[in-house]
Formats: sequence, structure tokens, C-alpha cells
Amino acid sequence: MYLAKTPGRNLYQLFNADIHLHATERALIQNDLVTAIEQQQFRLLYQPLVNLTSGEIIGVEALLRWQHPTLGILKPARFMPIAQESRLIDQIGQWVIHTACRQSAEFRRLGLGDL
Amino acid sequence: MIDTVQQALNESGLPPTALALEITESMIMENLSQSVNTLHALNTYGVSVAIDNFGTGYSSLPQLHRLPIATLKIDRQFISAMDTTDPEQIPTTIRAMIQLAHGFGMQALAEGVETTEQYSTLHDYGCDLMQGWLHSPAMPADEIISLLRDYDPQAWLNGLKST
Repeated sequence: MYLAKTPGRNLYQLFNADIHLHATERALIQNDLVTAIEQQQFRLLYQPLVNLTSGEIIGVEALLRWQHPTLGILKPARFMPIAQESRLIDQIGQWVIHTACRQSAEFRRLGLGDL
Repeated sequence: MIDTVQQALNESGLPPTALALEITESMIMENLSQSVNTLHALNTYGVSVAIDNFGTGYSSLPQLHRLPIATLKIDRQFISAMDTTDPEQIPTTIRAMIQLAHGFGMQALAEGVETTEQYSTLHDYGCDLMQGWLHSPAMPADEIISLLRDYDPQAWLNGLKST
């Protein structure tokens, strides 16, 4: 739709190239998502949740990242909408929950509190 | 979803009360009746739920009130707008969201807090929790382990005052 809004021919081509790039990237992501779990390309990062008054860390949020072999580190917004179109979203969701629970249990074993 | 959570908790030995799941308000509202059932089941099991990106989608407030939600996470775009846009409008919105959370018996968490000014304002408004670069970025497990080992809450608060 925003193609129709672009005024000049140059802009049109610019956006057109952009869309082509997105389509290529999209196909790449779609294809590579299938093997991403078994090739252990997903990572969880952890960010503290802090009590504003006491300064204490009351928990950590687990954030998903995909270490893609050619595109680099991808945030969920880049690949989750694509994963959502297939059953892959369930597999990724399961991986995240299992990994986060294992890691959280490990934090507790290390005596790092009730996170 | 519930099966996955139960299985992950059983396998890891993590107590359900140590786990909180985040769900966006649009995910809840897209399929409200199913969400209500899932959230109640999780709650009964002991897993708490936080609403992510609050303020960016459409929430049915009467429904929200009835859902077993522990935390409202105020979307980062409101926090970053504190410094840049209309000095009255954004604080009013944030204050209202914090009051809404408290009125519903939930905690308010500010996402994406980056400056001491944002921290001070949020603290004055009675916001309970925060996350963001002002405290620490997201990091791999081994780094968070060393952060947690040496962490001194008072020292962090003192550091804020001195900047």
C-alpha cells in the first residue's frame, strides 16, 4: 500500500528494492528456522527485574535471540511472525520454556535467590 | 501450553511459583475466552502472569480486571517518550497506568528505563518494578550469574543518587 503513496520514481525503486530484500530475507528465515533448534542456534539472554524502592533484583526476564549463521543475532520481531505461520512457533515456545526453567533451577541451585 | 509448562517445571524441578509468563494484551484479547481459561489454569497451578507491552493494544478493562494477572508491564515507548514529547500528557498516561495496575491489585513494571530522570519520576509515581539499561542490559546466563553473586541493591541506589 505504501508503494502507491511514494511520489517519485526513484523512491519507488528504493522501496521496491527494499521489499525484494525483505522477501529474500523472509524466505531465508523461513527455510533456516526449520533447523535452528536442532543446530542449537537459539539463545536466551536474561535481564534483571528490579524493585525501584529497594534496588533488589526480584527476578530476571528471559529474552530469545537467534544466532543466525549469516544474518547475525536476530531478535524475535524478525523471525517470530514467520514462525507463527507454521507449527514452528510451538517448537520454539517449548524450547524457550524448557530452557528458561532449566536455567532458573540452576540459578536457584547456585544460591542466587528466588528468581 | 499448560502441558508444556507443567512438563518443563517437572523436568527442571523448578517450583511453579518461581515462574512468571508474559503475554501481550493483544494475545489475550485476540482469543479472550481461551486466554481466560489458560490464565486461570496457570494461576491455579501457581505460575504467575504478566501483561507485556501494556498500553500498545486494545484492552477490555472489565475483562482485565477479572484476569488473574500479577504484573502490568508498561511498554517502553511510554518510558522513552517521557523525555521527548508533551511534558504533561505522557506522565499523566504513565501515572494512570500505574494506578490502574494498583487498583486491580497488580504490580506495575516499567520497561526500557534508561535514565535516572525516568527512574526518579517513576519512583515518585509509585511504580513498583523496572527493567532497562539504567540497571543492566540483557546478558547471557554466565554474566547474569556473576552480576547476581556480587549484587548490592543499596550500592546501586546510591550510585543513582550520585549521578
